[in-house]
Amino acid sequence: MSLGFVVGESKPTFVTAITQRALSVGEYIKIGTDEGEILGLVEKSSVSSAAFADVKNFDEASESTEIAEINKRDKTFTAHIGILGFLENLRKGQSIIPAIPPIPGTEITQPSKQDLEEIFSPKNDGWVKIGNLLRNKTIDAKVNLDKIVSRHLGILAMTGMGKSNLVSLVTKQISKLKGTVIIFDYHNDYTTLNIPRINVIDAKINPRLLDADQLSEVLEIRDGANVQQRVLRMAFTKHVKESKEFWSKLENEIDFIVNSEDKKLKEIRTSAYRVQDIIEEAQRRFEDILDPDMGDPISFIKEGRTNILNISELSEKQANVAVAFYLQQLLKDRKDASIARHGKSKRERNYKFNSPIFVIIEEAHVFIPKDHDTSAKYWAAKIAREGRKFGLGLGVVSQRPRSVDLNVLSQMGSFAIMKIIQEDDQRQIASATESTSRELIAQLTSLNVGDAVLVGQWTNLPSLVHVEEVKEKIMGADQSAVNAWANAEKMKEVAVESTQGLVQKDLLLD
Amino acid sequence: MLSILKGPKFEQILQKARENWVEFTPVKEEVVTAGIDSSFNNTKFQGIELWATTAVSIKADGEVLVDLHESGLGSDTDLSRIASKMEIDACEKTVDQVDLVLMDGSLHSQFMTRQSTLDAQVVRTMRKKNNVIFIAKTSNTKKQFEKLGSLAGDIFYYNHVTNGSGFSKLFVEKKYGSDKVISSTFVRLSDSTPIIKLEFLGEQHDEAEIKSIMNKLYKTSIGGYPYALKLAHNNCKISDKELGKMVSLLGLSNEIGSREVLG
Repeated sequence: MSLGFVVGESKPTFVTAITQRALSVGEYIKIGTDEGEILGLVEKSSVSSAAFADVKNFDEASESTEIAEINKRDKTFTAHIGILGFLENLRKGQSIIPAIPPIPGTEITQPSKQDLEEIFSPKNDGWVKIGNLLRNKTIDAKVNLDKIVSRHLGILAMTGMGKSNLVSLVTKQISKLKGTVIIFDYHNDYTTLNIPRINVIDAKINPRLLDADQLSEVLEIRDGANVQQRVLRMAFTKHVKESKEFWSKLENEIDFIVNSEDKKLKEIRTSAYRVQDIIEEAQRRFEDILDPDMGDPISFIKEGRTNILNISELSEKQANVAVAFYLQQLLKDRKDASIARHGKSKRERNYKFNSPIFVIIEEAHVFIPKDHDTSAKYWAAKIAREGRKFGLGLGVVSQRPRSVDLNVLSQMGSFAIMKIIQEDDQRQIASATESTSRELIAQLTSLNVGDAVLVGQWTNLPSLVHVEEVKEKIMGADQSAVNAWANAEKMKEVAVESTQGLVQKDLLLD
Repeated sequence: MLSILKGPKFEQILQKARENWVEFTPVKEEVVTAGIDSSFNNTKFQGIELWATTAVSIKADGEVLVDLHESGLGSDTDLSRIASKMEIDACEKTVDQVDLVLMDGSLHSQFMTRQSTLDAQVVRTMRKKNNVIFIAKTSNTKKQFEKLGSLAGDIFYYNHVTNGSGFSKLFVEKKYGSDKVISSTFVRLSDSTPIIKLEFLGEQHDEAEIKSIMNKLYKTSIGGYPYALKLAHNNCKISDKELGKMVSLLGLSNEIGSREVLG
């Protein structure tokens, strides 16, 4: 069925068409050329009306409505179409752009269901369904899980637009394949994720495994308190790390500094007192978080499961230290496994995970910030660069792409981008995703909840998709304050009634 | 500025215009109208002139009834004559197909100017069904109030005395001969829209007919102007760009001797 014709000046990557109906942005079309059939994506669509072209006031507009209705030539439907490549090659996952632009006058048609299914719903292993094409709802949208583990994934959207739903969906699909997923859960969103093989871990920090700077951050010694940090460095010896009574040993070391008659140590005595207080306070405040007897935190992560590392109890700095530690250990483990598998190590087995791991960092703008360095950022960047070689995939999730480090973001081979309004965010996305056209970026403001632009290596082609809802995800939705208040009021009444029943009547006041 | 026009007779003229003006609110009447317009353009190169003329007859619903084109090479071609002739041809082909044919421009200028050789064809065509009217957006005629010493065109005074819909009493002009009598009226189709001038052939017209014509025009008018005429104008325009395309199609842009060889 003819949809329209190529008009104006066409280019190998872009054509304009006049169509017989308004095409939706995100709709796919087919262009028949001598070289073969080409698939295109509508990136911009506009409708103009001759009757309304130069309307100057309400009355003219009102008069124009009738005219526009009776004149079948009144409307001009224009579609700006990005060329995605030859259909034949796209079926094989290759995007070959024609050398010769489609000739103006070439007919454009609707691709068949089969055409689209071969591209967007491949039946090969590793492709899993995550929703449907937004403008061709009968077509399943599938993504390649191999590519997100090997080339990483960025999920970017405003709050409430479906980021955690997509994370849950990807996790669920990996879980079905008995893959290992680790989610650093900063807002306790995933601990109630109701999928099989889930392993929820309250992230704790073993202070023995940290270096002095990391311990300083965990104990929340101020950034500028250089002398206090020096005191801690002096006290945090190898001996303390290996001691059975970690805290006592550390306090002893500080005591030694406090009580020392050495001239240099006397100078830092005041700071040592302060460090003493900080350590004491930390033991009390962070009793559930800092555990020197917990062993190796990595051992709590189970292979072939969805591991939710609950870091919601940790302060931002502590969470940063924890995330950095886990990332460092995971990368080391995967490197060791890789070396062992290639027979390059004569040492006995010293790794835990046999198969690839996918790590998801929620609130990436906190852990991988653009404007300052953190240890988590260092290790995330390292994984982004090297992870693919060792089967360690990274997923970064953020509602503030503009605040995420561009070096890490641009290493993401695939993206799911949902509704984004802030122009700074859009610019950052454009910088990080070279394959995303400006027109597609411009569409981000008009997406609805659950709609996403998928670009990169996990899809054969850039696509607009409606992500299916994960029923197993309980948390994360907006809370209804109104309902909560109403229930709270009811409970108050229930409480009054029940307690009044227990009080002797003669004691009740009128 | 207005003070220049407001001569001693100004109020008197306005009074006369008020007396001539008939208030009338048209009601929409279902009718098939076609608008006719023509245009021409030319471009010169190497001493030769490439010209093109078009005339189009188009219904208010966008259906093109007649689409005429002519082009040629030559110099000093009377393009306006060719375009006028094409307009009349388009009109001839249209009168039997629609209820009302709207010609863009003035019957006065048809009879007054060098197009007078076409007069016989114009008269014949307009008489065939008596469904052809000329419509002008602008008018410079100073006929109706000239005895009162008017300085501006008639349309100026009607615009001053009223804002509402209505029409002026028919003004009959017989100076072109008994077979070329023109009856004209100034019309405003809806409140606060510009006045347009309608011209009919012959003197057998009355107010009832004007009202009927207004009803028919009102149905498919935007901002007080018949949409079929606007469509005709938009469809027959020959832009410089289009003329450029013609030049390139005819292979005239790469003539030997063009300056391009100078690099």
